[in-house]
Amino acid sequence: MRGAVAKLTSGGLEFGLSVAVALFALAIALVAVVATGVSPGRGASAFVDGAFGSQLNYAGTFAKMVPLTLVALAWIVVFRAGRFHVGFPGQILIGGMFVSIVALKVSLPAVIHLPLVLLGGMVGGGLYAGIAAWLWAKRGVNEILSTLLLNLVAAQILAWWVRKPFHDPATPLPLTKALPNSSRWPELLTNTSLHWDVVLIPIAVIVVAVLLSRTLFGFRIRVTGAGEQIARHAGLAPKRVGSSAIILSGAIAGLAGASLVIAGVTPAMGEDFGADYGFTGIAVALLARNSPIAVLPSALLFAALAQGGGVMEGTVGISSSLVDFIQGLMIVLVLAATTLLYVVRKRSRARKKPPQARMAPAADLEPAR
Amino acid sequence: MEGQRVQATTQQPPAVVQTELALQLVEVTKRFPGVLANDRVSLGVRRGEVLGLLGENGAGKSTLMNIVYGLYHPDGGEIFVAGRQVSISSPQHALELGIGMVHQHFMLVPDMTVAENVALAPSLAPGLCRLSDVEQRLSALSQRFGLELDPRAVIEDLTVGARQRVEILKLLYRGAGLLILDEPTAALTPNEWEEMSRFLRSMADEGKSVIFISHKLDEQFGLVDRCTVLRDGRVIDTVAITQTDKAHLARMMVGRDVTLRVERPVVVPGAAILDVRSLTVVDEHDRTLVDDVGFQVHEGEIFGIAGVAGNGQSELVDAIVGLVEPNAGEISLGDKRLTKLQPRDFTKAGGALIPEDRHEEGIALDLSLVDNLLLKEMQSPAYTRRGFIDYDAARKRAEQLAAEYDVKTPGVDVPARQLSGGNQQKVVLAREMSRDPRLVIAFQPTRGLDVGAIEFVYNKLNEKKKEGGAVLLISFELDEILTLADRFAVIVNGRLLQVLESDKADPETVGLLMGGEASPA
Amino acid sequence: MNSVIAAIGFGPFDTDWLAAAIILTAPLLLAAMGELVSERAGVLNVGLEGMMLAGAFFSYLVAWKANSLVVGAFAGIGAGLLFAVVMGLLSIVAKADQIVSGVGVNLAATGLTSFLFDQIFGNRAQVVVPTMGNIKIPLLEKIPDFGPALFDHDILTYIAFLLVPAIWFLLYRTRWGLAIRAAGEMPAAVDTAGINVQRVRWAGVLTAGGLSGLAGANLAIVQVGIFHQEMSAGRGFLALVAVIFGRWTPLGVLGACLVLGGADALQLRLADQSAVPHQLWVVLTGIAVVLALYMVLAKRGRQRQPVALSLVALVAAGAVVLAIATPHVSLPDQLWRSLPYLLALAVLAGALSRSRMPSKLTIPYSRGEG
Repeated sequence: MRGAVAKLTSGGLEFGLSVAVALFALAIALVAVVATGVSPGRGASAFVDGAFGSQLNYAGTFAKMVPLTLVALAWIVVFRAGRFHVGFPGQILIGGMFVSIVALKVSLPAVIHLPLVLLGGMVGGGLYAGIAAWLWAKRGVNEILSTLLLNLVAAQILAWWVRKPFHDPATPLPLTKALPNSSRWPELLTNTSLHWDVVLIPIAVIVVAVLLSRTLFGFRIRVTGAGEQIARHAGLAPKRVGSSAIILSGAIAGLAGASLVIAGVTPAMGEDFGADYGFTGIAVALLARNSPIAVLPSALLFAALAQGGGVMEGTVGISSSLVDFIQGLMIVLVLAATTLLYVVRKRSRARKKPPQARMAPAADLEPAR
Repeated sequence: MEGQRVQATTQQPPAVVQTELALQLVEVTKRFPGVLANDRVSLGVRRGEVLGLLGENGAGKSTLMNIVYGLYHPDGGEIFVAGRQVSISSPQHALELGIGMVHQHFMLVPDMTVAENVALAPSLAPGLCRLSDVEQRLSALSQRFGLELDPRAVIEDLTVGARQRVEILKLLYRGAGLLILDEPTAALTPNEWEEMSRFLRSMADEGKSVIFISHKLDEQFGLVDRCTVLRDGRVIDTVAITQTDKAHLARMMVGRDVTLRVERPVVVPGAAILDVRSLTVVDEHDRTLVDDVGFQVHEGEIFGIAGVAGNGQSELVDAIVGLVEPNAGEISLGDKRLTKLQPRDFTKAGGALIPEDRHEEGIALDLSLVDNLLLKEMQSPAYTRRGFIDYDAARKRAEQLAAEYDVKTPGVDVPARQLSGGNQQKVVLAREMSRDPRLVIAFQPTRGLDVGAIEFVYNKLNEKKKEGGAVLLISFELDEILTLADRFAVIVNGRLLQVLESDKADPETVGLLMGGEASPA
Repeated sequence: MNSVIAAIGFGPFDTDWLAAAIILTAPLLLAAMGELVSERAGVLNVGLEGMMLAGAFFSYLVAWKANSLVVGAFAGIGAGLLFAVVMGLLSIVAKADQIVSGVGVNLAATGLTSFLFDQIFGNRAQVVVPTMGNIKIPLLEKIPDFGPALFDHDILTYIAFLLVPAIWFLLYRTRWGLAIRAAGEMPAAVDTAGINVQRVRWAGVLTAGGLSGLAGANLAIVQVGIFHQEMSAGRGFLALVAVIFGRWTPLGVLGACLVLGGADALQLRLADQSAVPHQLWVVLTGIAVVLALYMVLAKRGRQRQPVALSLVALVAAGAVVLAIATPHVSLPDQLWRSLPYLLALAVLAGALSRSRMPSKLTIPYSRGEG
């Protein structure tokens, strides 16, 4: 009983923190809006209208939720394993590249073709993440640095891909041929950007939530994330678990790339179809405080920001770049707020706690072994 | 330089203060939550004197020295440096007062040269750093004290002994008049120690003061003028080294008041469960950490390994549980050979481990109690089915164990972080003992626990023994060994000395053994 | 005159290429030198790209409003510093994860810059501010062919290259530099020496911010005189690459920036050519041989890298064959562009570089964490 209460209040605190951060960021956004000479009421209503006001608009919001949710989940998987990587943009792009291969080089009925295409995206993202995983496990290369570089390489690969081997000769633009309908998500609402890939949102959230909290594999990931030494004592190989987590997260990011390609507005694939989601997704996960379920509202907020902000540009003439700023601001605020929470908790624990009699003092200056 | 400046300001010494003292502590007290680390400690170091500070792990030596070095602020008491009362606010302040400290772990930047490390000093503006000047002065300094040292050598190329010399020269260079050395000999070879002690003496002869912290009795005797013994945060006595003997010092150091009495149950031991033969572990620097160690632990027996921290205990345990591959020797658990196996095989063979470092190895602070209790049941079909975890069963078991092991917790779903140290250790005990292991390795099982929790741990280990299990107890505290173990051996420098029976061993003799005296009187 | 250049030049590697390479290297070098200091102090600053863009925008805006390029350049530095303060507050004071902090700073800086740009210049044509004029170095500029290519540049380009010896001097010859290097390697040693580690790291972060702001100013008010939103075009990330590639030393970073800038200039010149000129293969052979020699001679690497070495040998052999055979191949320019990243990855994967990485990079320092 008391456990449930403790968990609730702790969860409540985290939730409240995220809400406070989001509200604060939105308030700053409103200040920026007012500074441009638009009345706050008009700005706010233009934003809400842009995100949810019409079928076209809320369709856009939900469509943007898909890649955001998937990347956020991908981050949560590696984060729980105690590894950080920032390779989502690259994995999205390579996932899309694999999608274009399966979509254009194979001809199949949609029932088989579409799943195969999705699988292709996951394989592409997973393989690309596998490079970083291999470099980390075997060569000791910091996975953050390697994925930063691999992102840049992926952008070049895609630029080449849509200009040379997969270029559609009918157009001077760097685009592939139109992907056949059998390989694309069918539209959910006609003449909007909303496709059936939104079903991925609940599915992916549930799968990742269950995977992490209920399965043995998820347990291994969490144990490894909790401490390599503990994992070793429990009989696990931290390198193997860490690598699989990196690869799995790459596969999920690859799936996001697939959605961006086969549920996009244009049927052809360009050279950059949304690598930016790779970084924004991290912000989504941070605001969700790395809980798979909380990704839902967090992704909705970010998607609404992107959609509403984009529309707002047309209606009241405020640059949609404001949204990028707000997204960055949210990361900054979440980080700052997390530290604040940590400090507050530590203080309150130090006051309440029975003696933590470990003679820590002497060890304070020891460098980590 | 700085030291001279301080000495120059000592015209009006406070009445109670002895002026010939380089450092004097008067009733210094330091509390940590739940622990009185220093209880009204008073001591003094004269100029030109080497003062030994002797005490067991956790006696409060390091805390005291960290206060002197400005890392901690005392809760009470007064500190006088060269007769002037001071409140040391930071390491920088301590350096300005002429106090330098050599830490247990070297504070040297490995990829810089000796001279660069020495030149590392506070500067707000990008002031020039004339390394050639530093190198010259360093050479002069090392010649003065008869130390060999190339100022241009890169630290990572140096031996441990040479690094120690750099640490000390660094402080002398910065003008330290009082040196504190915290367990400086742990990694030194006997020859390096010889040189070091000569060097420290020559420094004292030059009028500098040294505080030398160590457990090793013979080192104290070879070097210090007087020796202050600390136990449980209090000063037991300060004696001139010429007027005491090793037995007396050992008695003062380890002969603490016994705070709890646990009966040692009498059980007739059975067959050998753990058999370790000629085990040798060598690290990457070719240092032998475990040296030809062999022993047996039987059914219904607690076998103890006593010794001061850092004498090869960690490596011995790592080798037995499969974290480190031994360079030579054999380990068998029951009828299973464990020599080249993994931790999983140790667990499977019926081994359990209560690890030394609870937070690094024992318990995952961010995971719930349910998860923590599940750590070693990952393969068990009772809790996992087709890759899924049966959390109903796991939670039921966790609740049962929490009750059985008296874990005080708001619930089994809270992260282990929210529990007190004692309760965290009970979770570890519950996880390890509930699997009905044939062998339990308990490494410092009561580290940092309060008396109640200690008693609980002792009772659990004794129960295990009564059930016919084998227990290997490794502890830095002799009391603990004498209370629990039926037989024990002392480990020094990775070597296991002769096996003793607890009933027949007296603390004094064992203290001498632990202090590195191979042949006690 | 033309014939002289053709005679001196080596296929695409002529003096025009050299001059372009110098110009393109300058902004990279400015940002990378700042980042070098920051990383040596232990802070990895992924927000470089955003800081650079902010520097470009504010330098342009202020240069236009104040009608002064010098004031504009300082505004660029100020903008970089502003975001560096945010970075420092997060990664040093709050001890938040440096990578995530950097990603956040990046997004925020890029977003804010684009937003302000859209708001201010959305409906009006940008005024082209007069760019900084070139300064010819007397005498040196008279050297035939190379003089104009090397010694006829704007002041910020000179500053960028002069920063290399300056930063080298600061890092290796001053006590400040000593503290910076130690803070990234073993902050506890810095702390026990009585130096405030956090303050040292602040110095690193601010240096990176200010210099990447200046790099942005170089792009906007020195090179073109206007601002556009894709102005930094990944150069901030390239500067990060240069620091890794240059193995955390000023000279190495200079070399890396020259390679990156040179490759950029080359790719511009190759864009209109159908086949790879054979001189390129010759140059590649040369580079591979130099690299191989360096690896053989490098003493501090302790154990040599057989894998890396044979790889280099393989590349060298292949390049020799190609240089002699001069086949009519056309390689995608994307390959040239990703070459620096691939090289940086290879350098990271070889133990040689890892040993040079500041060991406490990205790890916050706190004394009391037991």
